[in-house]
Amino acid sequence: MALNHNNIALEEMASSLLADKAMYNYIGIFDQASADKVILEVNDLLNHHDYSLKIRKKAFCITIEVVQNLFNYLCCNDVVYNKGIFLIHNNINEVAITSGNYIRKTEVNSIKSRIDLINCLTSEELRHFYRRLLEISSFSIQDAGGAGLGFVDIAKKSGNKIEYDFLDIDNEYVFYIFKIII
Amino acid sequence: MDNYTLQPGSKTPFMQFNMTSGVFEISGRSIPENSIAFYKPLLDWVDEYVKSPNIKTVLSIKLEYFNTSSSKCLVELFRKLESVNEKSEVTVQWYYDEEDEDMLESGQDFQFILAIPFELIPMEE
Repeated sequence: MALNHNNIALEEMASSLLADKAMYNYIGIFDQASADKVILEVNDLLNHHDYSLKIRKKAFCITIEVVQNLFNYLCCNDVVYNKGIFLIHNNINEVAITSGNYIRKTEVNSIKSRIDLINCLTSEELRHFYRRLLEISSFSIQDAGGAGLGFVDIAKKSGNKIEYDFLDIDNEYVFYIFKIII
Repeated sequence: MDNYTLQPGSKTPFMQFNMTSGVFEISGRSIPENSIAFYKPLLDWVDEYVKSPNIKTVLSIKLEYFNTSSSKCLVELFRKLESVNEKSEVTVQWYYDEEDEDMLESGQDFQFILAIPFELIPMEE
């Protein structure tokens, strides 16, 4: 994705992403209720669409990971920075899932290096990496997320590379865009 | 010790863990945001069960969807059952829709990292 804007408003960003007509879009505050709403609505949408069972299940599983990941990365209770976008585009025999949310600049390198590593792996290497992460995963309240399994699972299920971008917002925040094609 | 039973929610599975028969079941969806908090009571129950397990324990898993944070909790559950397996017979039965290759692959991933009998059972649509 080549989206280079400075100090761009969320709505403008969403509009540029929506230009090629999303079959589903959510733009606004991301809290528990809206995350649940998105997951529920995407489930209904996919069930009423003419995709194969395989694509439907992959798209729904990836939606869950993307939405919950987005929710985990939200910038606390700040009314400006806890907004996000979630879009689904329908191409021929393909589903494209895009999310966007504000993150602190200090998190950029960690996210970038994890995705770059995953994007370098073949499908067989991804599977071994996933098993290794699963094997060493720990059950602790401090580590309540997916232990880094989420990105690997998304890449594994989609069979495609993860696309991402970080748009400069201000001194402290960037707008993090994540895209995957199924 | 009572049986552990939990009715399903929109993001959480049905669970029935029978203390006296050793027959356990998890089915439906497991996609809670905070899987650790959701699975903690079950894992505490299993800690007690492990102290005096049934002669035979069978855990059937029939999940439609699960998120990656649930997969960590399932690994934790399986690890606890591995310790039961040192004292008595334990089997995990992983059911999957025969058209759902991702769910089959997930079962194979668990099977690969675990040291307990782990059966992969296809279900017709």
